[in-house]
Amino acid sequence: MSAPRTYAEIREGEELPPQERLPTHRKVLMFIGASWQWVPQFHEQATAERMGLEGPIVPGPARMAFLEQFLRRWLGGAGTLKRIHITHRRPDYHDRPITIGGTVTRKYEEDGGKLVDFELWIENQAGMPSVRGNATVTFD
Amino acid sequence: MSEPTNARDGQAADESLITPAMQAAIGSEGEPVRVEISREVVRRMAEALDEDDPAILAAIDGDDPHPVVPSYALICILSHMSEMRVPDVPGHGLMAADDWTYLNPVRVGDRITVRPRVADIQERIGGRVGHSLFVRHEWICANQNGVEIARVRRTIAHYPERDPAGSA
Repeated sequence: MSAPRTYAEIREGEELPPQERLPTHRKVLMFIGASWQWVPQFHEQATAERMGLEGPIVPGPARMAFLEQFLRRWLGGAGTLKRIHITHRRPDYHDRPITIGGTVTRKYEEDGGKLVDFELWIENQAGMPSVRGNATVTFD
Repeated sequence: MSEPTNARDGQAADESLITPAMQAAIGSEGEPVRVEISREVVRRMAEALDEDDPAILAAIDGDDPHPVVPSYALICILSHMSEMRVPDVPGHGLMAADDWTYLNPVRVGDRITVRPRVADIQERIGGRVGHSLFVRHEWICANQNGVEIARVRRTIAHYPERDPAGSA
């Protein structure tokens, strides 16, 4: 975790340093068990192949959580996540590293509140986008 | 020359996949789904996600009986149980998009009620999964005091199963 960032410190266009993450098979199974998302394509090779996938995939909610954690780490716990929107471009698979990154796209004041918009992304090992998204964080 | 067909049902590729039953489902609301935010589930989720935020870890293991939980806990706990079944959609679905707006904090012990709705169904020809249906679900989530905590729009792409021989 970095030190808490203030609204004043954040600059439009600032890049959030990319971080690599490895969603291991074990961790994905722990996630599925904790959230009780026993969706077959998340853990069954045969089902995944019938769906045209290379193997069991990382659940979408887990990828959303990765982005939220990435953003919170960069913010050092400052701010409150107001909105997050993502589109899934292609699957990520167990035991294959992903890279998570983002950019500050806008900071502004609205209805008396201070807000910062971010673009967020996940890329697979081949450098192809697997998730694209954006988020808005509010500051006191 | 025969028309291209979908993998399993022999349906012409340019024929709409949207059935009358699906059409009728658009705008329908499902039974409310209720779930309690359990400290143990949040703890397990944090472990699975390698959570390293000291404030979150301290809150999960601290003395406060109702600490605020990270937003991902809500996403992960509600995700699977809140999607409404839509008649006739192909069995396989992949999440295409997710849009969460957080209106108020969620705490351990909160009893969340989700009111689900099928907002829209659209079909797409081409793309990564071929001829497919995009079902947009909307949920309104409120706590035990009736306070709205989140609004969600989730889109699931449904598509026919692939032919094992690889012809689709």
